[in-house]
Amino acid sequence: MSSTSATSPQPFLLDLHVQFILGLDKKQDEFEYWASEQLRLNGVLWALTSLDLMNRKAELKRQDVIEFVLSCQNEDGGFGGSVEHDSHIAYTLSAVQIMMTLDAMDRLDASRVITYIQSRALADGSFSGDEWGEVDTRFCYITINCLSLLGRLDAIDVPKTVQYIDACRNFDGGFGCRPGAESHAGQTALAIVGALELVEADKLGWWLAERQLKNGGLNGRPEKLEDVCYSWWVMSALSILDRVHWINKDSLIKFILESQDPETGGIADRPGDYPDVFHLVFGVAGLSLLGYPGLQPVDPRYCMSRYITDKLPKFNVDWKGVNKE
Amino acid sequence: MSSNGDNEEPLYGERPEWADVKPVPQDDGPNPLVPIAYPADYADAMSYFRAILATSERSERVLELTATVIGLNPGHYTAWKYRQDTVLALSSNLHAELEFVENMAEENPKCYQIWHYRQAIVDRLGDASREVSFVNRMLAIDSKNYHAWGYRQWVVKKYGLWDGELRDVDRLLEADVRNNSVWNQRFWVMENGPEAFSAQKMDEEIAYAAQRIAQAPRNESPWTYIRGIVRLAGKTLAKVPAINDLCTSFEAQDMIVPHALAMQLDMACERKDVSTTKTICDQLAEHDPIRAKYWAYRATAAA
Ligand SMILES: [Zn+2]
Repeated sequence: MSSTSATSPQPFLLDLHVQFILGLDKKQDEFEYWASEQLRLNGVLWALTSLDLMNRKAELKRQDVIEFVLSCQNEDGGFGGSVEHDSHIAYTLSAVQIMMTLDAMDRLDASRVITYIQSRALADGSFSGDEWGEVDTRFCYITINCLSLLGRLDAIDVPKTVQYIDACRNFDGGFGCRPGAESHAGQTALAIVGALELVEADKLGWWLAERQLKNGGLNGRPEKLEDVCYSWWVMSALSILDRVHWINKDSLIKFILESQDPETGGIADRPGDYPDVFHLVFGVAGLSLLGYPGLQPVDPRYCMSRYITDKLPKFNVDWKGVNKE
Repeated sequence: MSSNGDNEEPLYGERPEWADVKPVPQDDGPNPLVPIAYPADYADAMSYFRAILATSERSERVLELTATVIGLNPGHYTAWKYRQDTVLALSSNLHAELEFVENMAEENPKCYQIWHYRQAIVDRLGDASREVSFVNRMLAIDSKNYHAWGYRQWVVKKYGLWDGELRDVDRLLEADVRNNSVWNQRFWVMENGPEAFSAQKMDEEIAYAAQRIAQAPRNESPWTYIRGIVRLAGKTLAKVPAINDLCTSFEAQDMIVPHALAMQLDMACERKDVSTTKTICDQLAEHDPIRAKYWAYRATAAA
């Protein structure tokens, strides 16, 4: 039974969240578990990152995780969402992030990963997500993110990719998935990581700040419900723009804490809903970004602990080839 | 999940037409971190799907098998891709594929694979005559479906189906004036449609948005729309009298509308009117307290 009242926000339930993650494996007979098979690698990343931000990374068996990740790598060098699934650029990033978090990059055949990513590049500077051809600004972000983790941004034509992202800029200052698509905080946050100098920081920052609702939570688009995961995407974008102070931090912390499940652990999209590991990692990362005590500082660009990304070489891309407005 | 559920079909392992195929069971490796325990019908279909992948078979029964796998797990992108390659290899009836997609879409409207597949089929078919009404049916289920809007833009642009766009936009805004996806679509039509965007068009669109604002003044989307439209016309807010009229109309009714104040703030900034800027920032900090720090920043930025 929940012992917290509606008026006093519950504290951060760290031990319960660890239990929640360790219990995920035992849910195999539940519908969501097998129906999301193609997401398995992402599930491992979200669980691992949550634990890492909570200083409990050792709870997952490192060797088992590494073997699982490597078993998802295909002939083409990319990674599928699980064993036997086709490669997708999103899972390839997840694999790299997991190996990085486990300090196991020596086990990864990076040159094959880079070959795979290069094979996804399209003539206009965008990237397709898989052999099937979905195109989305997210894949530009994923590509840049992944190559920066591998220290190989030179492997693609970055200015061209930035030009493509720029073409996805909307009239509200945000970025859509494709040229013309509605602004979406997720894609926005992702898009700007690779193209910070092109962002109209005040305009976009205001659009992002407008996402905060009265209960403290943030939504991903106007007139949508507040959600812990969008709170992360919006806030990480604001953080990259150095404008987190434009939103009300205390009410957002309260919103995330209220979205915890006090009985099972885990965090839901909003208070009262069922928790899952996806919202858990973005809830924990959000609290870290807001300076909540006892958590590893998070890097808003990668949603990984800063002690990991601090080791990366700085972006040293020459943006001058791109025309600005 | 019960094995088979309400599905009348026998397992593939029991069907004579599949007797020649040796199923390939799942292989999680020696010590799986995440062992996968499937319900019997999914495990059965998957083991035949693996066998098919291994032999690259392209046949009618593969279409039936991929339909089963996709039906049980709509996010299974490998099964979608294999189905697409099979459909093309067999020169199957593409109209029947559209029907298959529609049935899947009704159950799983947010599954991107479905939309991507539909696009591939229509692209191959070269006939998009049924697509706008298909999207409209999907928007009737969820009028903010991101995939549906993205697909709609692809279809409209590629096949020049601009005629009904503003009529549909208007109908959807009539149903929900706060639907940001629809406002985004309206802007997209202005920016990409066959008609050149003119100063007259800008005036018409501001009047349209003003009417919609009157219905719900605190609705963010039409205010953002006006900003976009003015920019598209290459003008500035302060030089468009209709916008000033719209904002002051609330003052006359003694109504505080933060979006109107924010617009007036931008106009004051354009005019470099520092004292008005500060007054409005103070008002906004009071009436939009959650963003008080932002308004304080605007006040200092103007000084
Ligand atoms: Zn969410």
